[in-house]
Amino acid sequence: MVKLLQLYQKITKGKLTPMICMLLWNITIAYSQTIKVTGKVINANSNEHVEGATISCYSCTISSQSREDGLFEILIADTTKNLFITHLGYETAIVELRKISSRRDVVVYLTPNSSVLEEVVINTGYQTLAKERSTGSYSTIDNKLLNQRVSTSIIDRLEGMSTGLLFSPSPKPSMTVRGINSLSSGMEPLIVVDNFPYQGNIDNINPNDILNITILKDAAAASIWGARAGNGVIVITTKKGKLNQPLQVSLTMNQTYTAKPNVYKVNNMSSSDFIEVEKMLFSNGYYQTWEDDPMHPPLSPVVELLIRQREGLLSENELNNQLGMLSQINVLDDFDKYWYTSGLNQQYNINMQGGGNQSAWLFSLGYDNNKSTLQDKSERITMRINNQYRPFENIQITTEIAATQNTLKAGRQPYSNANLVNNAQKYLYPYADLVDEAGNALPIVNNFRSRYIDTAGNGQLVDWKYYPYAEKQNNIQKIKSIDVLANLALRYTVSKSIQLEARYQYEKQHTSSDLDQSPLSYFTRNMINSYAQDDGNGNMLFPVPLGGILDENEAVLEANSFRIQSDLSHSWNKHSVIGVLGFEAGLVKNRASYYRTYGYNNQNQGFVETDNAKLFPQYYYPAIMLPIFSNRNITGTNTGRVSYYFNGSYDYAKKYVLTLSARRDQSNLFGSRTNERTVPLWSAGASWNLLEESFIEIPALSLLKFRFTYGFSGNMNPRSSATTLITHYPGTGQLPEYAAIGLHPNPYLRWEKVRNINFGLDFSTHEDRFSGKLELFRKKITDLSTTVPIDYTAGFATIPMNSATMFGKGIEIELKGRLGKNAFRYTPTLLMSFVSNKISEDYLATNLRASSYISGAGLTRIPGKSPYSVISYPWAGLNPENGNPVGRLDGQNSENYSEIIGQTTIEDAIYQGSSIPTVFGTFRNGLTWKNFGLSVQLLYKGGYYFRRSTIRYGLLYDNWLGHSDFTLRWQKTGDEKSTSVPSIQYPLSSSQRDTFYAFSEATIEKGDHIRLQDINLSYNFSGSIIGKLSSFQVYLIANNLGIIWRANKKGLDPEALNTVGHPYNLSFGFRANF
Amino acid sequence: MNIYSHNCRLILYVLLVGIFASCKKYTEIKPDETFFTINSLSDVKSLLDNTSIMNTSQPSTPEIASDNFFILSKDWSNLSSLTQKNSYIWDKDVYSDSKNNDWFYIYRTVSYSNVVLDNIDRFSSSATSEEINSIRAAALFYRSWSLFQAITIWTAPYDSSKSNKLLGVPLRTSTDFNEVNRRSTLEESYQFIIKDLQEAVKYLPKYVDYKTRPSKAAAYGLLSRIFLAQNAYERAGAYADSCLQTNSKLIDYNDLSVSSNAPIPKFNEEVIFHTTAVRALILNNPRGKIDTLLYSSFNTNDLRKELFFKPTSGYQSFKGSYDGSATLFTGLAIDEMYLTKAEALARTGFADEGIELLNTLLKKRYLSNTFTPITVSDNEEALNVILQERRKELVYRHIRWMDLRRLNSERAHATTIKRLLNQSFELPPNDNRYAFPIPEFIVKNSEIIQNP
Repeated sequence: MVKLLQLYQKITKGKLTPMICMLLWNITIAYSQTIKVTGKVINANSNEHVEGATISCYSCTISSQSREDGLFEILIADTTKNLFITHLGYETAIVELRKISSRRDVVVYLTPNSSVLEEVVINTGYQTLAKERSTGSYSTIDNKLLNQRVSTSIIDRLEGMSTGLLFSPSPKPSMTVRGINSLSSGMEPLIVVDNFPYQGNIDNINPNDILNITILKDAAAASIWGARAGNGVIVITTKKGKLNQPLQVSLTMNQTYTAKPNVYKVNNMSSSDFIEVEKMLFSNGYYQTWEDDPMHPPLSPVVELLIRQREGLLSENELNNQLGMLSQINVLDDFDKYWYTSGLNQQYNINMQGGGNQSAWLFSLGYDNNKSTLQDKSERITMRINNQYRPFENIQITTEIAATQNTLKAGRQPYSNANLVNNAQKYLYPYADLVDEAGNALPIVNNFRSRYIDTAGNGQLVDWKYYPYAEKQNNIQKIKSIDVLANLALRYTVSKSIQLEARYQYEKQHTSSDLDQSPLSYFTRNMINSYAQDDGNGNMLFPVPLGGILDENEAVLEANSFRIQSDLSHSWNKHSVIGVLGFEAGLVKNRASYYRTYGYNNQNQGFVETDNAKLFPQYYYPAIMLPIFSNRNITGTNTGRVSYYFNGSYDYAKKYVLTLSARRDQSNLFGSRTNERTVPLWSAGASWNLLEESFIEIPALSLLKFRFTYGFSGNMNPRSSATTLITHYPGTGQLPEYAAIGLHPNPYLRWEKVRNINFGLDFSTHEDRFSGKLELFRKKITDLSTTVPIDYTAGFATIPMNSATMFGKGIEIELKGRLGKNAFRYTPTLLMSFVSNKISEDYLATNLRASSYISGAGLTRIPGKSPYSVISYPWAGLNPENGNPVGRLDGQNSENYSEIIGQTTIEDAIYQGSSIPTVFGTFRNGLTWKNFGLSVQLLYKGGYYFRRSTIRYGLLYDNWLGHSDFTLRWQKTGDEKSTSVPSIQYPLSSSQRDTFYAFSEATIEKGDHIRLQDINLSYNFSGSIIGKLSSFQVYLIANNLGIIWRANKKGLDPEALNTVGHPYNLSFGFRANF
Repeated sequence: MNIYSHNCRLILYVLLVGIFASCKKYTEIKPDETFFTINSLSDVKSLLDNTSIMNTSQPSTPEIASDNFFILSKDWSNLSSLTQKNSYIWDKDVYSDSKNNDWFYIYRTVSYSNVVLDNIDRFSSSATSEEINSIRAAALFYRSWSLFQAITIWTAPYDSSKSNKLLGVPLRTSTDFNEVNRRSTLEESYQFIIKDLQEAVKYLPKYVDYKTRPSKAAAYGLLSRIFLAQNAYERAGAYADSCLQTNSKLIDYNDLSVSSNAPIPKFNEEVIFHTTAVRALILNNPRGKIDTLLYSSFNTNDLRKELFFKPTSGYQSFKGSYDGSATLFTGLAIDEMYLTKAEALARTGFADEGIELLNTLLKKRYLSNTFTPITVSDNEEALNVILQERRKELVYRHIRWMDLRRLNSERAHATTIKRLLNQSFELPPNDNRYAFPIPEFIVKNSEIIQNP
């Protein structure tokens, strides 16, 4: 125990809370004197001896096991009160030592468990149900599956673990259950932790604290959550202390190494190609407008060289030398060397629990230390204390306190945003040299021409150059968040069949984010110089003080939830009824504020007051007058809800089950008229256990069950109001204070309604050798709230309205096997989901031009199609004469791009299909041999399309955004046979030429792929091999091993487009139980 | 145990009743803390003080379509805004690239005014009728100002013989977004705004604390513009005169610095009512270049030549905004009133008085002691001089389009505008294209009829 304590201190670097010290102290001091207890363990039913039962006590350093003849002996401290006798197949027994006369020959009777395997239970967040009592569609993910992967966030462990659950990269909703159920922003399922929706950041939850997860999918399962359940519900249940349980300590540690991302995967254009293009543009006089622009917009180093050569300041030879040198530089080399590294995540967790007759407790402490591949450093400390107390037989009090602290120190910007501080909207040119050989930061062009910066202010301004490599040390961003959750529950057993429960939960999350932009950061220097004023006597005045700039953000979330519920259960003869009836209310408040401080000195916390009302002519172009923005901002939102609910089930002879549930919701988010006349959302379901019928006999099967449910759930939409709401803004001295209309009223707005029909079939052969589930579902989602464009003669362009209908359907298949015997076992699992959505044909599309829907990868909302669709301009190849892309207009080939884009209707455009997977699945192979375990998991996603990026010459010329497709461009007649990339053109015949190609059929790829998600290898040291340990497992997990098959021929990862991609990671760790 | 459980129940019931009562308010709490209902007169007033909506989002397309500037072919093809490109060549496809177009900006101002007019009577018990009337008058002014902009852009030029048949603009007075919009006749449109303004002028204050708020003078000035657009010169002159009665002080341009990039200060003494146009890249330095003939028509002693323009790569660009910045001023100023009154005088047979007024203005525009007062021999010559000076003085004020429309009805003053890009374009006088196309989206989603 002392060792444990030391270990503990190591883990938490001495940050032990006094409480846990005391807790451990209590355990350690109990050594004093030892006595010996001997006895025998006997099966209470058969009176046979029980071998291998563990005999332990709170203070025992060494537990003992019963021998073949049931006999045991154990050394314990004389102060010990209780002995615990545990065995996997039996209920735990407790021997109260003060109640027995002799410590010799103690006889202990163990009652066998009703079922050896852990019973599958479903937690809906309101009640815990046996699987047999349900008619709805659920998936449960048990603790063992959750431990298949190592991650800081629980969400990262869910992909591929359940049918119907799909993860997608942004801009698609990151997590969906059974497809898309809404057309507004909230498409992700409701996440419930224990009993109430979790309002804070879900990453506050330590995955090691989680016992299991239930996913509620259909109406019968989810409609208890009413108007919030339309997207499905994920119920996370944390571990709890149990009554009558000996002290258990489990320790988990792991290290995860993340490989360094391959930055060369981005589609960059080569430096020499880029320089060639710039030379061509220069010779065509393209840069003249920029040179003449009085705002001194940036020109690239190559263009500056060309200008100097034109002006006779540089010889032809020198120019070519310098260009030659620049063409050797690849900016990605610096990113590879100085930006990206490998990452390392460390996770430590200790969990202790125990329980006596009247009380039970659990304490858990976790520590995570992560270093990302972009040098972000983050730490998380989680703590959870759960107590159950039963002062009387019929009263139970449960308290729980959970606290989490997250800290993050931001590292470097990823490649794509590397040139972020840039008003001129230029990307990084590929020959940018960011770091010299000695490791010093080098300047690159940013907001202004280098020629202007070099001379502006005659040396009286601060350095105006931009050094990307130095930005990290000059912009210190720290984010800290603390979340505290407290939960109190009182349960009163009125009679055998009635229980009353009251629950209250309080959660507060405080997040502060500071960005300290030192006087050396580009942002600060640029502000100082832009506002600098020449006083006319050759002196420079600096209205933006010469210190740093501190941006402070603060966000507070406060949630109060309250519930009163009565649980009913009654059985007579072959009938059994259970149900819950309750009332709940909740209020979630969010507050955020933002403040900027000028002249900030992080050494002495000094700052300088600035005049925020006065307008200053900008140094680089005095016709622009700007105030020194205080950027002060305070916002807040409130979400209040009041609900009444009922859920009941009736079971006859374990053959037939009927379920019924209903819920009525009121919220401040609905329009006033909706709250006044709400109709409850309801569901009904039935199941039939065929094998219980006397007239059906299928010898091969042990279970055959049909289920059917029908019902409604809902989705709330964010904002609406019954009257015009306004926002106030302060005056500026020159102008009075004013107000703006914030929200136009639509008092009729109501929740979106999801009608759900589900048909299910469960089967299993004897001993669960083969088991499976088949689910068919259909959905109709009505009253979808979309922000509808209206005739803006009304004075505003859009309003949220219940305006659309969508259909959803799908099939889910789950097949499991338990093969092999004795030492060798093979447990394959196959999960397949087919899910598709279609917006109703009669949905009023406000614009029939295809161009409104052809864009990136976001929500499209085309009538009759999937809400996320890929549509494109028809493609007729390249013109063999000039390499122009050819499209279709009025049934003819055409190169009139603005007409093509202007005239192509949704009907004319090519609809490829959904842009989110419509088929997806998991193939998981579990193998155990003796103490070895191996699991290999493959993920499949298919039935969808994506659009890849390509070269757009306009962006190349104006914004310096190149693309590796440049090398594939059409250059001579004949190339059109092997490439679809249009020829380079200057001047562009139409700015829409690029747009047409980029959004044509030619850039669409199939998304189907199979990914080797993870391999998990473990070894269990069984029994009491290692002294005091009751079990010890070591494991090695390789995650994200990459794509092993893909439909696209370009080697693209459809889930990591235009990024450096996700590198694999490797974890090593152990789990020990004492 | 029985007593215990009895008490327990009692406590539970009391608790329950308390909770049900207190939770009721959860459904009534406002969802967003930054939003407030309109519940005082000062709230209403604050809406009209929202300058970015009421004053500084004025249309720029009419100026783009006018003849004050030109743009080089390569700059034109590099422009990203389809509306700007196509307005320049009077193409039909305008306003389709963005919903943030002139129609939206104009009717957003109308809707703010309507929200104010809808709510103002709720506070009649807590405020004097004087206060209420002045806020109502301001709302009427803003609505009329915006609708007059709409008339200038989307209707045919006024012609009293056909104004009952020609289409006007939708005259929105409601705040209900469900109401279907239709066009009124041109005559109705003019009568509507004139009536509102004549009502407003009674209650608007003589002096305002901020030049972004309408004053009596502003209402007179706007009425003068409206009657000028109807070729009702007598009334245009009379209202210009009423406006000048309150203030007729001109800035002496000799006091301004020609070297400055924005020489004319914001909210200066000449400004009656301050508005500015939304930024249009096509108009501004370095793309927009001043018409060379227009530039050369300025005399060398004319200070405006250097105060209004600056050389940029061989051409001239504009820097003379009354906003003291690169943002273009489109509001009402004293100089315009001088010119309107002068024109009205010349047109109604008082040529000498008109020229005298013009000379008062020009004296303040020329280098000290270099200005020789203009003399004319007849009415026609007087009118020509006044109109030419009007064009020079009001360059880039977004008034030219209105002037082109009304002057085209007179053969002597009609203009054909030409554009030379890779191909050439021409806008002859009284062309149908003098009425811009209404945004296609609006036509599809209302009962509004498209222009020919």
